[in-house]
Amino acid sequence: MTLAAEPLLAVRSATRRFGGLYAVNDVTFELGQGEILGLIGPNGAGKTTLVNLVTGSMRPSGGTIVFAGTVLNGLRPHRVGRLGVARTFQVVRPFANLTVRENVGVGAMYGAGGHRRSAREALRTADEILEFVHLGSRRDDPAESLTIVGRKRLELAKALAMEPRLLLLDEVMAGLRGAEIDEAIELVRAIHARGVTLIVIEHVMKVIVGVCSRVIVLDYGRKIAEGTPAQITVDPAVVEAYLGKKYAQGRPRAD
Amino acid sequence: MTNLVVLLGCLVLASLAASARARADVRRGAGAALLALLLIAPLLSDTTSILFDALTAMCIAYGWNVIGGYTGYASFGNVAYLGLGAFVAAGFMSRQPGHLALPWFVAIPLAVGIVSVVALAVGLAVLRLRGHYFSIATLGVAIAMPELINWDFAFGPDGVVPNFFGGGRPLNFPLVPDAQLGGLALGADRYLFYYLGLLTAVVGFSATLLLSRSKLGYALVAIRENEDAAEALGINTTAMKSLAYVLSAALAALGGAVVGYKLTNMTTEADALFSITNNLQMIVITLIGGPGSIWGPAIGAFILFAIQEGLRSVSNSSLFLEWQAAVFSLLIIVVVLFLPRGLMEFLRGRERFTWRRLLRNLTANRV
Amino acid sequence: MDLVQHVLNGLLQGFIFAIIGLGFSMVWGILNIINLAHAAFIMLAAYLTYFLWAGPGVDPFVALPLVMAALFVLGYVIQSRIINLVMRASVLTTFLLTFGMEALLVNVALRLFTADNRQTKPSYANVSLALGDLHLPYTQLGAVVVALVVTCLLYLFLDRTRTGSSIRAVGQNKVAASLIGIDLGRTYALTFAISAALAGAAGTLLSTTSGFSPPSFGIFNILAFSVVVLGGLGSIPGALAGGLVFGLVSEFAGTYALQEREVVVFAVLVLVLVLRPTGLLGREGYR
Repeated sequence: MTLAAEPLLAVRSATRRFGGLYAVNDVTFELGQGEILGLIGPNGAGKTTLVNLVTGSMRPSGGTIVFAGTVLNGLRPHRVGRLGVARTFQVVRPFANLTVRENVGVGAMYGAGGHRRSAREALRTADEILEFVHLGSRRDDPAESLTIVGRKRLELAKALAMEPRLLLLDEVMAGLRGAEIDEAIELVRAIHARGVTLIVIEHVMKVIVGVCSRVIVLDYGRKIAEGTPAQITVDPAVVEAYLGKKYAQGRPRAD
Repeated sequence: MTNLVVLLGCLVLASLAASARARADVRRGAGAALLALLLIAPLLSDTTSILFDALTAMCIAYGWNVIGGYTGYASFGNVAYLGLGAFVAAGFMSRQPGHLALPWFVAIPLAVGIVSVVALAVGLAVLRLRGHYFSIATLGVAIAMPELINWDFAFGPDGVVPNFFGGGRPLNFPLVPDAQLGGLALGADRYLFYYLGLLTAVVGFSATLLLSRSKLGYALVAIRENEDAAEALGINTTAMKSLAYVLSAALAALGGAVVGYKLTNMTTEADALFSITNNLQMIVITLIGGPGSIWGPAIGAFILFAIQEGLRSVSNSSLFLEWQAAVFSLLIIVVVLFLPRGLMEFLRGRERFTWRRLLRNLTANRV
Repeated sequence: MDLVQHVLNGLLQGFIFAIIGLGFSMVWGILNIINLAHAAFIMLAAYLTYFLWAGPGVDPFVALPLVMAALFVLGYVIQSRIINLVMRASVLTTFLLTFGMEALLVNVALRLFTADNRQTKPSYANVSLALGDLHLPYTQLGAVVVALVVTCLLYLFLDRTRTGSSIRAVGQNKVAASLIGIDLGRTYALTFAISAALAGAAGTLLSTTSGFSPPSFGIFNILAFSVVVLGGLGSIPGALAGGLVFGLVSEFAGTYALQEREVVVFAVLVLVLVLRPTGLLGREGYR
């Protein structure tokens, strides 16, 4: 597949080793501006590790990662953040002793647009973002008083405050049920509509099918499939990775 | 007795100024009244020594508050910068041959600057560590610093900067004579040193006030709460932590230099400056008041020294001074068990002060 | 004195440091607490041994098991009554608590026992085994024997007994351990008590090797920390190795840079922390 313009994110042969174990093994893919890319795979496939490589929390053992023309290899996470790459964490831990507003404010102070803003201006920006994620009413509450749903929204708000061009969502739906998931999908679409390119890691297939235009599948650190959601749900390699060889022979429907 | 009243008055005013439940104009008024009370204190009391001690201790505690309270990196070595600040200032101000005899308003800021540079160098090494490791490493700094001052290679008679710290001969600050203002006699101890001490407390307070509203302040709290998330949000944690560490060292050095100035004779007082009492004091004061708050160190200092003054006027024996370190350590234990967030927990408005709350704090974290 | 003698002195001393590191490491590894009161326990043991010797004339090596038992009880009580209260609190809290306890014990000791230098001097105190030009003081040789015996016993206890295994289990995964029925509180108290007993052994041995007063034990916290960091948390052979290395470091620093012994120890520590935070032999869990 070719993209007319230069890809926003180009990952080439990214590898991360821990001694003899390859958490991420020779993964290559590209992401164009405005896409929503899904990243799926069984537990332990290396999805979060891949995110860590992109954001700088971990240094790649091999390969290169280029974002908007800048090589990310070796950059510390805060520099990557300021370049316009934001992420959410799987286990959400807000700044407990700050208010909801202050939590988001920190992102506005130090993200891509941070240097322009004073602390006070950043807090005002935080208010706007809180409205966008429907947390405005909890503005002055301590962050630790939020429920899991609220905390997830807060995590999103913090990342948005950084004015990212690329946002990596790491299992944002984990722990949510039914209607909460639908609301979250709406929020993700709204974020995309603001011009943010997304990589979505999920186990909930409804989300992947619902928002992603393209999906890549990891297993044991390697990329085993890439395509549209419809294509990868029937890809035998993917089915085998999740369900084992026996099921790969059949043709399970995408749900 | 007057001093005790002044300290208690300051405590009340500071608590009012810090209280989240009071109206904003009441709080501002309390703050102004506090400053006024501190300004006229020498007119009320014959000896202001204990007030001087409280104010300089407050400045040093404000320093600890920055790295231990706001940033969450408990340094057990800031006493090193306290002592170093005193010695460097003495080195510049001494009128003995071979020294520059600089005036205090040049020498003290210069000493603070030099200690800050030292702290930056040390910080680059120790701030790579977290939690326990960081604390122990800073403890090591506290142990090592007095040895640094005695290092013959650098500071001995044939050293790189010969005899800067005395090098075997006594090192003294110049004596400060009493002054005259119009017809009023201003005793050095009662007025001049006192106001210098008050200045250090005001500097510490102001620095903290500015910090709490600045982007740096938010960054430090973010680092304390979740350092990895802070880094992911774009905060250069290494740079911010270093700044916090240097600031804490600078305030410790400022307080130390002024304390040293009043003590005058550095050779005999060296041990007292680097003592474990001083090390504990800045931590106890901050913990009692409330780490990571603007008023915490002030409240903690007023309480601690009010207790000290109260006991002294009751028993009037040197017993308290001898057992001071032991009492401080007991205080640390008590505060850690019963008041982990300090008294500010109650002033911030979310909790009421009850004995039951203290008991609850005690058992909140058991196995 | 020649080089070999120095090396020997350093190694002999190192065995005591190893025991200190071992006790410190157990509490750190199993309870995740940096117990700054460890040095205070060593101090208490040294004074207890001293008073048993100065009064009833009990030989230090005979007093050793008694002192260890006394410290065991003290450690058990302190952990179960005080430290247990903050087991789930932050690292800073537990650190401050043990810091406060250490300062309290040292300062009370300073008031009660004064800063006079003490040392137990049994009849064989100044007698050495002579091997050619080398001198091996009997007190230090005795220390080595005790250290080796205690280390072996500890290893066997942890490896072969059920209680020992439950301690190791808690160290590896306290949630899983409590789920299979291991009493966390009791295990913590037991571990702390063992650590105190080890400190007791060190204190007894140290009382014979040099003069001491309450403040002279402060260095042992940094030393214990250094030994564990170098040897690796959770490793018995590591503590031994670390102890020996720092015995040598201390000996050579003390000889060639008398004033700056503590600085050298600290400098080595920082070097190790920065270069190899996992230590020489460290690994997961506790073995």
